Amino acid sequence: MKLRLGYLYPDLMNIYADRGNVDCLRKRCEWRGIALEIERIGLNCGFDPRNVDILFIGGGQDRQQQAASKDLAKRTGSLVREAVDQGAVLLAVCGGYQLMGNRYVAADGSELAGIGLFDAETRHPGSNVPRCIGNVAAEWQDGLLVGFENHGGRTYLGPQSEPLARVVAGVGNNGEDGTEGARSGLAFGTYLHGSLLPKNPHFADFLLQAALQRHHPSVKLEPLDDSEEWAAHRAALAKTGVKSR
Amino acid sequence: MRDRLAIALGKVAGSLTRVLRLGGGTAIPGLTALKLSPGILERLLEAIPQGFVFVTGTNGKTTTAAMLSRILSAAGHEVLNNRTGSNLARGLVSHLIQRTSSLGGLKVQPNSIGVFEVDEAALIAILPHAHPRVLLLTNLFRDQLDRYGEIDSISKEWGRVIHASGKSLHVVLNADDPAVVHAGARGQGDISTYGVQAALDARVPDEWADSASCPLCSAQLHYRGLTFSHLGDYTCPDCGFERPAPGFAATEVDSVGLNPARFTLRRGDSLDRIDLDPPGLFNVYNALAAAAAASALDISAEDVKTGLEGFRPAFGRAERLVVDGVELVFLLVKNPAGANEVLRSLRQDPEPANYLMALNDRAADGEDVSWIWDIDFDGLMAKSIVATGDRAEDLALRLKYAGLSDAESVIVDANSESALSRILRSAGQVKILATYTAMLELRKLLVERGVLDPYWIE
Ligand SMILES: [Zn+2]
Repeated sequence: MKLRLGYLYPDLMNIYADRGNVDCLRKRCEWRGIALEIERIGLNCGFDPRNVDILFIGGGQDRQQQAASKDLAKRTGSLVREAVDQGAVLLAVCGGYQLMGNRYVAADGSELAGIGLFDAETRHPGSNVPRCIGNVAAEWQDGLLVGFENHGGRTYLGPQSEPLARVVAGVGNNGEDGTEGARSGLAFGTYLHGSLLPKNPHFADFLLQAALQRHHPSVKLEPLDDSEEWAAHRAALAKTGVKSR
Repeated sequence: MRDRLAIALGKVAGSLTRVLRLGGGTAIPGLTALKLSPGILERLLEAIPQGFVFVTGTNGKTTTAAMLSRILSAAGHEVLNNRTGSNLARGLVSHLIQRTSSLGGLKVQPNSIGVFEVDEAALIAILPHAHPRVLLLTNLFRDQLDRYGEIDSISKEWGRVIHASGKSLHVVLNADDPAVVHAGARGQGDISTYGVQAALDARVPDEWADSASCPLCSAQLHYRGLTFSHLGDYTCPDCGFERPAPGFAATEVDSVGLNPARFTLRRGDSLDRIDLDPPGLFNVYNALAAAAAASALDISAEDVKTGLEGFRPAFGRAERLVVDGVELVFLLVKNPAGANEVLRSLRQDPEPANYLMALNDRAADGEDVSWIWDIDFDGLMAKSIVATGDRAEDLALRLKYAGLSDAESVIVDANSESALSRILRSAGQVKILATYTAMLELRKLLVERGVLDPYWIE
């Protein structure tokens, strides 16, 4: 059995070691005898949307983010939307999450186009407003998610997207409405890095299970020994001051 | 007059904090003096007879400044330095205040020269008010982004303040770092460059590399050769931006594992074989930087060689200590680029080793520990590993995904004291990889055991 992961802009979008998420998915497949093939999708590469089960995009610096935005606008963005429409799972973190929304509005009013996978808009309030930095805990449908956030932009969801989780500690999307991340169908966006998936094995397996759905609907992922994962999860949670449950 | 008062009160504030044990004694005098007399840093610096050098960048500041100081001492200068952790304006002022007389004048000799390391973000505020003879730019890596902001914005701001410094500033820069070249090339005065010219594989930068895209047009840079992270011989396929030929080059580099690094220093037609004491390519870069800066100060090639070869590693930079028959090797890790370079050296050692790894997440370490996922632990040969520190569990999890917990036993012990006792029971050598505050903590424990001198300078 195998799964195929499309890793968008690995050379540009990895500012907070987001590649740890890809490593995590690969290992969790490997431990179960599933091969996870990784296709690196760089600028001007494009990819076959029928050929990916999971897409991943991390965060970048402003300049890298602009390059990615330009490339998405050319062709790759529509391929990403097509892949998700056909049942691929997508995880977008931080800057990648912002690019999957409708637009990013910089402090000076200039706009960076998103691909509209999420009904979301990110606005940067200006460098005189502090960045959102720190440990985060957020209540997701199947338990708490823990991670670290570091973003200047504030994201506001429109009616077509629901939040991924509710902030318990930290800022999340904007610090105003208590939402964290976004979800549209099988596409998930979040500000949590950390890396996110190793410390949240329940979320990692949820994504893998969803990715298996299309071609292997009867396969149920075997449980793994996640004692180290949960120890790190609890340690990160303790940092936020939120009690384990 | 205002300065004299500021200095006097700064000193009083400093002794009060010491007497009352309020801590933070290094910053208080400077903070007080700067409040009372904002221009005091500029005036204190101007009073150094032979001028001064600023050393800035993410990695290598401390070692480079120490190597340069060693060279300048070899050339007969008295060298003024700033101590660890005081590379912000207030720390510099605190340091200089200690050297003032009761009348507020700087007590220095006619041949005194300053070598000061300056925090890469703080440089932007300090440079417009200071006039160093030489500004030495080492590199720009991702480091504690939760504190600093991004590499691009620092590089841009550096360029702005360097340009504004005018023709009298001699910029010495690392030609192998595109972000540094982009900033330093805006200097209006002399520019010296250094880089590693050894035969290198043309490789694609690792995924964790920080700045492998062109600072002018954002295209992916092509590398004819890479040393590590995004450092190397690069060229932009789109706009032609490329690495300038280094004026000071290291050729025939011989650096294996934790053995002392050796290289040939080439400037123009002159060649010098340099035998360093510290290991690693990183230290070859540091030595090149120090040599280029020394030459900018008209120091002879002979003094450069003497100074570099007489240099011994500072705190945590592959420093060794034997405790109860166990040899400890201290390896400070602060960011992915530095850690990966350390691990590259460690992988070259064929003997599996015992490791004590300590990860803290305090302000001086960076509160965000996600960077450990950019460290390549894969292929490390370990007999045993003890993971400790504030984020011991994160570290253990990282090691699990690197495949290290499969073959070797990883023990998690968040308490650094018992973690240290545990690892001291191993036979042979123990390699200690620790973040800044974790390293301080381990050293404090060794001081308490009476095996380490309590007084040290980074
Ligand atoms: Zn270019």
